[in-house]
Amino acid sequence: MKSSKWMALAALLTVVALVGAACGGDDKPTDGTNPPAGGGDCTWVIGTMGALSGDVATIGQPIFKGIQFGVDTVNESGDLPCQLQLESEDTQGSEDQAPPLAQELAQNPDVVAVVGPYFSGETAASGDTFAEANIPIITPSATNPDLSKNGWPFFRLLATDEASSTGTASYLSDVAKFSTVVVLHDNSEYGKALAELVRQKVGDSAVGDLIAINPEEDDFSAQISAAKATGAEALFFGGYEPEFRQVIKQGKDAGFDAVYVSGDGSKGTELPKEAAAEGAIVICPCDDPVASANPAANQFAKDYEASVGEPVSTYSIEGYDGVQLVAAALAAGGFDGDTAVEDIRAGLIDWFHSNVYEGLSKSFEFDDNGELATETVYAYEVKNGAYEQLGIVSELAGQ
Amino acid sequence: MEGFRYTLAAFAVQSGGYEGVNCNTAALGDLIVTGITLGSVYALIALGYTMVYGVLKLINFAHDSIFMIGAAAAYYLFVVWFGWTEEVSGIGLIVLTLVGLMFSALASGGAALTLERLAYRPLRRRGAARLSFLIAAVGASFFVTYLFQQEFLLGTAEHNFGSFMPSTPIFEVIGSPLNRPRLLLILGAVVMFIVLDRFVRTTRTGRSIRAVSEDIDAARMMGVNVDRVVATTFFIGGFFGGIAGFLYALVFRKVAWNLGFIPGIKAFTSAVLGGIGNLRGAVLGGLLLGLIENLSTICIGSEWRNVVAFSVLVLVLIFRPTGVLGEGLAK
Repeated sequence: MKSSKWMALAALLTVVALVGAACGGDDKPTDGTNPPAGGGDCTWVIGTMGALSGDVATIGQPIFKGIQFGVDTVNESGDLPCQLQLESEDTQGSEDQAPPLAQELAQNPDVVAVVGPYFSGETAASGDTFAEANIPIITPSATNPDLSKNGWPFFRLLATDEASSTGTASYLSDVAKFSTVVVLHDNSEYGKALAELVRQKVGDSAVGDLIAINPEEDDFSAQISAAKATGAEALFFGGYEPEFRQVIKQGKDAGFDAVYVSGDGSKGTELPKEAAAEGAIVICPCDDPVASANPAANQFAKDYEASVGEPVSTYSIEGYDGVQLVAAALAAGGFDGDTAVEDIRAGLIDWFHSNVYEGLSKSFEFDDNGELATETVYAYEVKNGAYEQLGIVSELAGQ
Repeated sequence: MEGFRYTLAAFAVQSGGYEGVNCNTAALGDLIVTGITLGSVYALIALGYTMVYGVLKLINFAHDSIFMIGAAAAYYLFVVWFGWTEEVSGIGLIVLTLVGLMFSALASGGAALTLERLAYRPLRRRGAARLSFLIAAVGASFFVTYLFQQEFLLGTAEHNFGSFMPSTPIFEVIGSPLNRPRLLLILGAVVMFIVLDRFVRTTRTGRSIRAVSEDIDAARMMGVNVDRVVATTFFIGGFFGGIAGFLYALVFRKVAWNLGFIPGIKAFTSAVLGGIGNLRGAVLGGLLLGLIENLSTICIGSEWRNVVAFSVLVLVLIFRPTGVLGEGLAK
């Protein structure tokens, strides 16, 4: 009897040790960032959080890789007195998982800024945490318009859903000239808001009810039937890529031959690979660096592919620009390893508000809420298994 | 935790106004056809819940992962091992489909057998309380599901599947186009149900299953090998779950670690709706649930789909606690 008790105790201790070791692993600060090439012996941490795994990792990973490439580039240039170090948290795109991860970043005394979170839901869920620590939140991809209305130190590197929905409505009504549009969404913070805005802005062209799908389920056939019964020429879906792919597949299976249109949440790497998605339209406040008129952006696309080993994708360049923006502000502020982190955070926020930074994707000039002064929205079509940029929506519409 | 989140999502009333009953008749044909397709998935999975319940009075909550294993097996066979991406037709398509069906069915059947051996048989040997079985079932479900979420198996990403079968519609039923995977799913459910029903009613093994279902101790005294009957029951339930998993992956052209969760809950609901322990009830319950879900989506509103479906379940159970057709595998 006695020995079995000791065995049980030993087993318990082993389990505790294993759990401890597993949790300890999370404290590892870097995530594959290259060792320093220049700079001093101090480090400034840039936090980032988003969907690094899970079914929406196809959207999160290109952003993360853009950010990582940005950090590597800054460190190689050796322009800063301290090394930049990237600390990443994986939310799997879930706003439920975001708050404790945000807490972890906010408690890190070396974090000078956060480039992220990537999605609107997780940004809404973690903004207060960062704001309390006065950490600048620089999102390369969260587009919900309300995010900038919370009084956070928030900076958005792209146009909002407000601008996107205006662009989308303009594309649907003025460019493609659809007279009937049916609108679906996935009930997410991002998807529903975008869908409602688009539906409102296409005005009389909107037909049928606003239809919600449940992204946790796979079968959308009833919703598709409802959409099909409207006989609309175009279907707009507010939501993310995996569901947009299912909507297209199930829509075409059901013989609903509309033009399938979605927003930036659907502009992931898997969509063009879907045979059924040929001809689908994505309206996105993102400039494709390959198709960009800016030679520096074209060069970025080449450098990124050479460094990361895969072609540049949606919001990679915004992620990269986010890091470069922070680096520019760090250099301009004259901070060094002895500056208190609170002063650096406050200094960065001031600098973002009072300066214009020429990034690769666009020129970053922020208003008091951290929104861009000029917002541009682009239209893309899925053609031959890839995205083809149709152009800037306002130019296509002749406005 | 993920599981609970999904449950909540499945049952939650999502924001959105109630606009009154307003059925759009233009979509009726579509809704009936897709409702039956969906109902067929539920029915195939529900058969597994109902078989095990009929014999052991146990809700095998791990059955949703057995279903997912069927889909995962097909993904490994076609995508990972053979890398099949081309569409095929004619004899080739029939052969591939049969191979896929058998492979998934055997994989899930094998998994169900293993589960019975590792998780339930030891409990049975010790005469454990029924609650222990239930907890073991819930635990096994989480274990298998999250095992497949690990990167060395399916990982967290969603995988494309089923490109070998053309998805273009082949003909129309009451104005609704039907493609091969959907047709196969409906036919599969019908054929498999008839086979199982005949098997349980007419064969020797079927008779021992019914005997154990009626009175496990009496059956044992009459010389029925109860362990073997229980194992057979699990295998048959798993076999059907595997077929359902393969067909589900074909219809939705995807395979993912959490693929079983929602269909699992819905199929369990179907089994209860039709009368748990009753094979015909499982099929009827599945088809009813599929149709109710679809019709409520369009008549009341897409946010109300699950609210309506589960309200119907509650109502049925209030007035007929044993489900529409009543309990009993033995009868």
